[in-house]
Amino acid sequence: MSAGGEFVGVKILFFLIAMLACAGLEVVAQPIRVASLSTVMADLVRDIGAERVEVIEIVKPGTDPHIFEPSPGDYKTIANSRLLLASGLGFEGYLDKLRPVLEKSGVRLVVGGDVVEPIEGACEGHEHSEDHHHHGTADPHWWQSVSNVQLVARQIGNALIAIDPAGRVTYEKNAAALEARLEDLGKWVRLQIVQLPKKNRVLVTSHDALGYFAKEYGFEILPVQGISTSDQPSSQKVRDLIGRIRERGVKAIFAESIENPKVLGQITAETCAKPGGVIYADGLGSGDAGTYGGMMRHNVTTIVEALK
Amino acid sequence: MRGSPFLRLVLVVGALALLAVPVWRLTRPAPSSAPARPESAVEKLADYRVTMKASAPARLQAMAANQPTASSVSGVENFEAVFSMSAAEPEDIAVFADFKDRTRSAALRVTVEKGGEVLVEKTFWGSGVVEDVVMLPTK
Repeated sequence: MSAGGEFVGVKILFFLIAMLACAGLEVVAQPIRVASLSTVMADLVRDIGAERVEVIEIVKPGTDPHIFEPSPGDYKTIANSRLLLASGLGFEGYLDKLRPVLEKSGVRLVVGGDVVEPIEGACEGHEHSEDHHHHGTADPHWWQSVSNVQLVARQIGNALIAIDPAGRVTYEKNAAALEARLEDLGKWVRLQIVQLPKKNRVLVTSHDALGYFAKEYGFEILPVQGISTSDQPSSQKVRDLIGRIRERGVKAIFAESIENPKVLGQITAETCAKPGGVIYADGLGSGDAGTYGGMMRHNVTTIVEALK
Repeated sequence: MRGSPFLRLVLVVGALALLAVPVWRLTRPAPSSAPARPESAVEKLADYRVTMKASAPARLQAMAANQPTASSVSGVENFEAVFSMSAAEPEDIAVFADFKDRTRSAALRVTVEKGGEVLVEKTFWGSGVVEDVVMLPTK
């Protein structure tokens, strides 16, 4: 081969290497598709993954996750993702039906409830159907404790690194920043709650979703319904609850963002308690409550102001 | 029907009054099932001594629900406050240190004692302002 021919050969080789490098970069630049069945976990993965992830919220803010069922379109979206986030502890009663789809499509499943210490939840007054929301004995609303959310944030960070090792530096940096923000949030919550005398720390809510919050900050919960929004209170239970509210001199009763507050309204009318405002129990809301920090700040401010 | 109308009226009123007693007994509202608060339930109080030690000069403060806030002057390293609270279920205590030098890392050591016994000892770290909550155990 002549010198000119060799030069052309080297040029072609460089061109091919450059093409391959560009193709490689393109693959890296493609965001990781993450489907989420939890509004809280969607917020966490957005914080940690930033521009390296594309988050698809299957369960959207304001939806009642207790009665949510994924559509065939949702199954398709999940199958086209690399990662699926779920709360677990029985919150998504349809999760077992999804598992074969995940295995077939190679979608990695991250279940928040797997890394928290579950507490027992009350479950009464409803029958469990095969398809709809069914519980074990564990309370699935783990996000009502900031320390639990810190554990789940670490779990999500590790899952992203496993899927996309090239993004490790970004994920670790963002996870550390989120950890610091959650630390500050936890301290802020403690500094707000400390203003409430302990005898006032009684939460009357639509359903038993604030167990982790109650455990962490020393509240007693008097729920109208059981742990699911589909639990229906008996008239005897409502009468007993009214008696306990009067006996404890409870100052306020809280409604939830995605429920019909009619029964709570009736209880409020029969006791001296006033409506305390709306709190977010099953996930994120909109506006200020559209992020995890915003939701916790909204709930805590509402509770402290009403029970002071 | 014969007889004096007045006598008949008295008899009817009397019969109605006799009937009214069992009817009232059956229909009166049930007494509250809530147990009356016994006299012994009057809360016993205990003194909780809060000792704060700062790593550098600062303004120190301790607060608890239903208690007046205890504050030091600026530039102190030690401060003590006593709160009189329920012996069985004391309130948690919020502590606050505003350091003169806001650029350096600082620490605040807090000890809470009741009757000479140390209940909680904690150190908080930060820079500029250090604030947090000391949770007190309940019986």
